[in-house]
Amino acid sequence: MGVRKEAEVVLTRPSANRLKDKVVLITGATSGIGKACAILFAYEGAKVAICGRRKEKGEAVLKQIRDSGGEGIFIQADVTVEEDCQRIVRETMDAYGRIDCLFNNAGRLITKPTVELTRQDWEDFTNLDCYSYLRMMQLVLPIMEAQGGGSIVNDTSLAALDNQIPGGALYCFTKAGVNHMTHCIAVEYCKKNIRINNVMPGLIATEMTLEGPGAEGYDYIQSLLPVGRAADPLEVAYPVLFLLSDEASYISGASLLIDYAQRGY
Amino acid sequence: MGQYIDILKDKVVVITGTTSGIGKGMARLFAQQGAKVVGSGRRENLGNQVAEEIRAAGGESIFVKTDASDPVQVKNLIDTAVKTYGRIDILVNNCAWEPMIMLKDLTWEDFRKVIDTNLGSYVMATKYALDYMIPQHSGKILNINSVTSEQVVPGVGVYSLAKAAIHNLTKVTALEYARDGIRCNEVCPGLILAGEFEKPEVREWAKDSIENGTPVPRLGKVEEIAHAALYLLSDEADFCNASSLFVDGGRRLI
Repeated sequence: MGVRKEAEVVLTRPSANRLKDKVVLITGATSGIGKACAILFAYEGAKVAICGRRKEKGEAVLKQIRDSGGEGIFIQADVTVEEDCQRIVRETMDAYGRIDCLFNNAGRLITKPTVELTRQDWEDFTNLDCYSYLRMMQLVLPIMEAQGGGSIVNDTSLAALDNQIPGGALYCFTKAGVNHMTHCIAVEYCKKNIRINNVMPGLIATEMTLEGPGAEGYDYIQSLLPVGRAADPLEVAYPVLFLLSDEASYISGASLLIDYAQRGY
Repeated sequence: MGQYIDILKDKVVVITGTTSGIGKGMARLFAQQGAKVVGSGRRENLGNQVAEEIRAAGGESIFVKTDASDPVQVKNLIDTAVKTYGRIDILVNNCAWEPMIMLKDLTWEDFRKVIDTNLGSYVMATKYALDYMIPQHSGKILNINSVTSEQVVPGVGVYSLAKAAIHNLTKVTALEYARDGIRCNEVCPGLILAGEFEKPEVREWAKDSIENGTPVPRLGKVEEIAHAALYLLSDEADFCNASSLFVDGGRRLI
C-alpha cells in the first residue's frame, strides 16, 4: 500500500442548474465529500458558502469553483467552536442574505480499542460529529423558517447502521446519533416546509479514508465490495444534490445508503 | 422539477402496472427522458391510452396486456420487450393490489391473490429480467415498495406482508447479482394522490391520517415518486445498491 491521495474533482455531466440561485452552506468542504459537493453544487447553479479549518485547501476549492464560473465564499472556521459556528452563518447571510440549504458534513474518523477510549476522546468526538451538526441546524433553522422553507442533508455513514469498523465504537455511536437526531428534527420541521435527510456513505475514496487513521482498513473493505472499488466522492455528492433539490419535495426524514450493497457483505 | 434532459436516453424500460397512478406517472416521465417504455397491466384500454399518449408526444412506448399475478404472462411481458426493442435495461416492479381486509376476515383465496399480485409478480418479473440482464452484464431493477413495508396499517395489514418481503427481495437481488453489473434499489412511497385517494370521499375519510399522521401534511404527488424513481435509475445514483428511499413526507417516523 503506497501513499494514496484523494483524486481531483472532475465534472463530466452537463449541468442541469438544479440548485439555481440557492444559497448552500457546506461544512467540512476543504476535502472529500464536502469538497466534491461544493464544486458540484456551484456547477449546478448554487451560491456556495464553504467552511473548513484549512485555509489553503479551502481557497483552492473556491478557486476551482470561480475558475469555472461558479459563485462562492470560503469561511475559515472550526465547527467545534461556538463563535465560529455563529460567524459561518453571519458571514453567509452578509454575503447572500439567505440560506436555502445546509449540508452538515464535517467529521473525522477515530478508531481505538474500546478500553483505550478516554473521556477526552468522547468529548472531542461527540463535539465534532454530533454537536456541531445540531448547532449548525439550530442556527440555520430559524433563518429557513423565516424564509418559508429550506432543505438540510446530514452526512452520516453506513456505520450508523452496522459496525464494520474495528475499534469504531465512538464513530458508529455518533453516526447513529446524528441519524436519529435527524429523524426527530425532520418530523418537527416538516410542517414548516423544511426537509431534513441523511446520506449514509459506505467506503468513499477521500482524504479521511485514504490518508487518515482508517487507511489500514481501506483495502480490506474495498476487497469486500462487489464493485471492487470505493466510491468517488462525486458518487455521494450527486445523491446529496438530489435530496437538497426541489425534486425531492416529498422526502423528509429519510436515510439513504450509498454503499453499493456493502452492508450486505 | 424536470430540468434533466434525456437521463434515460434509449434505455428499454419495462414497468408493471402502467394503467394508472404511479406506474402511469413513471411511464410518462421516463419516456420524456428518452426511454423506450414497455408498459403493462390488466386493463388494456387504459394501458393503450398511456402508450398512445407517449407516442403522440414523440416518445416510444408499447403496452403488453399482462396479469402480473400469472408468471406465464409475466414471462411473455419480458420476452415481448426484448423481442420489440432488442434488450431490457431497466425493470420497474410497481403493480399492486391493496384490499381493505382485516386478518380475521381473510380467505385463503384473497391471501393468495395478495401474495401473487404484490410479491409473486415482483419475484417472477425479476427472475425473467435477470435471464437477459446477466448475459448483458448490465441492468437496473427498481422495486416500488411502500411505507407499509415498515409501518403496519390496521385494515390493510395483509398487503404489508408482501411489502415487507419486497424489502428483502431488493436486498437478495442486489447481493446475488452485484457482480453481474446489476443494481437493485427500492422506493417506498407514503400516501400518494393515486388509486383510491383519487376519490374525494376516500380523502375525506383519511383526512386526519393525511394531515396529522404524516409530518408533511398532504398527500404525495405521483410526480414526486416518479422523480425519486428516475433518480435511482439514473447513473448519478450508481453507487446506490440495495438502498431504500422513503418518499413519504416523513410518515415512516410517526
